[in-house]
Amino acid sequence: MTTATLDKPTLSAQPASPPPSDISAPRQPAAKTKIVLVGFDFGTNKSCLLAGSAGSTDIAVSKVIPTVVGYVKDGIVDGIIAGNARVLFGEDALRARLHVKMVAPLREGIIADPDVARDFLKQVRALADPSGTAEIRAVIGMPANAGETARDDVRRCAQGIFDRVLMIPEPFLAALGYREDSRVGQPNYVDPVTNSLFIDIGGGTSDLCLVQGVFPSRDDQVSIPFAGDAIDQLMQEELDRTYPNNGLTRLRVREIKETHAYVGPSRKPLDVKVILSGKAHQLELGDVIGRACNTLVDKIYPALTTLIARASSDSVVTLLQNIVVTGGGSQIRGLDTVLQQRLIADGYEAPKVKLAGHDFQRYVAIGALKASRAARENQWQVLLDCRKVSAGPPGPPSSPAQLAAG
Amino acid sequence: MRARGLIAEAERLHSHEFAAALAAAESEMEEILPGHASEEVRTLLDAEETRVNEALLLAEILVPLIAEKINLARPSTEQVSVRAPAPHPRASARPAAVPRHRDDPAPSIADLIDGMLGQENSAH
Ligand SMILES: Nc1ncnc2c1ncn2[C@@H]1O[C@H](COP(=O)(O)OP(=O)(O)OP(=O)(O)O)[C@@H](O)[C@H]1O
Repeated sequence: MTTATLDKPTLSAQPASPPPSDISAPRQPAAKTKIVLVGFDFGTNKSCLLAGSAGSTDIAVSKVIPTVVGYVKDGIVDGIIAGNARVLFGEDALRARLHVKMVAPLREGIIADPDVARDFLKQVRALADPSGTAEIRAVIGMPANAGETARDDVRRCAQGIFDRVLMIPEPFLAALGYREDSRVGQPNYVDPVTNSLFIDIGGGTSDLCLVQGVFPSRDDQVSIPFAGDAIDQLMQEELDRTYPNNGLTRLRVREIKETHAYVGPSRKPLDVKVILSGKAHQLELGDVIGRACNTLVDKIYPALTTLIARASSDSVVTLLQNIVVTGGGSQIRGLDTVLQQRLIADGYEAPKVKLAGHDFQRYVAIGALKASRAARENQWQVLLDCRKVSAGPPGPPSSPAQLAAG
Repeated sequence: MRARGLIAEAERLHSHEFAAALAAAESEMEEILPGHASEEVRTLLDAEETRVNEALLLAEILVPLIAEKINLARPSTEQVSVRAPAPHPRASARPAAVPRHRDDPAPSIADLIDGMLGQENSAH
């Protein structure tokens, strides 16, 4: 790849005051000589960033970052926050939670607060390209069935931060990320991109997607606004009814869920230690957790069978062997077994539901990075940042890539 | 472009850019062959259209025949007899997308992205 297509002016790449040798030269926009490819899973709770230079297969940056921005409260004494920063991100924000106003930029997988989302993306850019001089091309995961408004919001927030973007539905990227490229073509390896059904259970949405060797159509994807966050809410509501004034925060409820979540028959008694008003208590939460998590199964099972019914009769047997659960929700104990048992009970032929495994937080970003490496020049959407463009005549785009100006 | 689902875009090209190019070609030929330009161009285009139509017809006849031959050549173990899944009340059989056989070569990622962009364009 060359940088010949990158000649749009970018003020941010220019030094604030030109070096002496440049003084007589006309102000030319600095050409970006390096391209950094980014695979980005912009998740409601956690985001995953992978980045590497174009033309190399190395992954230079690999990070899972809680999707929160912390704005330091007024009046915090010097030295409390490292470097007296005013804005913190991810783990840093969570660690300083007492001193910051914590804001989540996304809700149910889509941007809820554009300014905060922009701050978060600036940090992503800084991590992907610490020099701040490279052209950034990012493939961004979107919830299945994300509407045009949600996509426009991402484009607008990314303007001036990323140079080119491509938005691809998350469950498809998960299939791409899960694919073991070295095994594609081996006789007993079923390429997930050729025939699989992905169930991605995140914080805001559960996304199901039928992937059968062509890009999934809208009918091949189902997004259900019930996932990890909704389980937390159900648990908290039931806890409030059973143990009024329990004082448990949503964050603590989530921690309890992440440690004990299960589906299937009741695992009562399940005693959980909680600290209330400084004192330790044992709460029996077997049913509270079981009921909330089993609701997830009830929500996703009809979508699962609807998508199975879309597969043709000569692909469905292999498809039933390749149902993969990923995302944070895949960590709920027994989820694979319960879904598989339901399918068997309903007469499906030898279904096999698998968990994506330990890399569940990264598959979407891995798929996104693979897509960024494979994308053709004309498939990228060029983001023109009006603030930058207005400072000088825009260079003509030399590739037919689509242009998006805000 | 039509095969990729970019129907509106193809229509636009046909009625704007292509029509303009045609008019330019006709006026250039008018200088060389006064009085015959439009007739010459039309004959050329008609011949081209017939050629494309015949190729399409041939493909329509040949593709099912070739597909049948390939299926016959496959070992019989591949002809798995399938127990249909339990029907779902809201489910409808997958209409257009022809699922690839598992022996098909894996599609390239760029082609899959093209499929996505094609869908987005036709949705607009
Ligand atoms: N061990 C666990 N048991 C149960 N749930 C878990 C576990 N670990 C994480 N989760 C839940 O998974 C959800 C987050 O999943 P993930 O990181 O895939 O989502 P996201 O990408 O942030 O959200 P989305 O995809 O909806 O935008 C949270 O609700 C989290 O509590």
